[in-house]
Amino acid sequence: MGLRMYNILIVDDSRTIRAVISKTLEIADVPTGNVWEAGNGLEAMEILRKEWVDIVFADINMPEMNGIELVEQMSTEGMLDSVPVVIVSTEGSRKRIEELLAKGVRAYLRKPFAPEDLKGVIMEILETNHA
Amino acid sequence: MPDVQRRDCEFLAESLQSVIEKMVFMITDALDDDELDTGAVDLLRAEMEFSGSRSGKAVLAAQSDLCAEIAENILGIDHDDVDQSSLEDALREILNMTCGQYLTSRWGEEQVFDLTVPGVTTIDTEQWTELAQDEQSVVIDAEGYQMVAAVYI
Repeated sequence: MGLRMYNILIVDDSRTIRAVISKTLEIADVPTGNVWEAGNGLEAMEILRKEWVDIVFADINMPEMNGIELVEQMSTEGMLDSVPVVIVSTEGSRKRIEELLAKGVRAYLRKPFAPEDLKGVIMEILETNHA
Repeated sequence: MPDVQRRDCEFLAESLQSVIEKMVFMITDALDDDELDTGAVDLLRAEMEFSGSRSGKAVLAAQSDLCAEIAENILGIDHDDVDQSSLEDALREILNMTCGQYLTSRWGEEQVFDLTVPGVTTIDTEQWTELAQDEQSVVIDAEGYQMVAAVYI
């Protein structure tokens, strides 16, 4: 049986951060299929409605539709509510992180992160989803 | 320098070094003020504010060449393809991550802070030197390039 490849969507208004996450996926040897990028939640929703995505990495603060609004929108659209969302942010407050998890965010990754941190989050989520 | 201020500077230097090493994969070293490149030109300065249990602003200045190196490293593009917006975005994100890391490591995970979006301007050599001479600033070397960071509370 071939290696399972995961489709990833990266949502951040910073081209630099999208590139950092994308590069870290490569360095961490995450078996990726397609990697899409979106500059905000609205662009992300367009991709999510058309493509099969295994995991979403999203920033909190973005124009048009932020990361929390994206999670809320996904929860109203059929199968999208089961797509795991990982928030990637500089937020360090335990209270705020707990609020994010309560809203349906699957995991939280605080910037800056090491490749092994990113891989750990992905593998934990995806192995649970595909068990 | 008072102990509290020295401790603030240590947290800031560690935060900036952690960001550069983890996200840009460059080796860093904390420098003494007298090691500053006082002839540096073509400089960018990013600034952002934070509010919460403590309020203030964070500043990060760097040579454009370092911002270009960061953009090249991260974006995987050639030097000639690095435009001004890439330079500014790179510096903005480095400051954003450094400020977030500093606030959490310095004041703990129980504190809640709101951060503004960093703005970027150009500065001259005199402003660069003034920033580095500030007691609240730290100077970092990243593989031959220099950065100056400061937090004002």
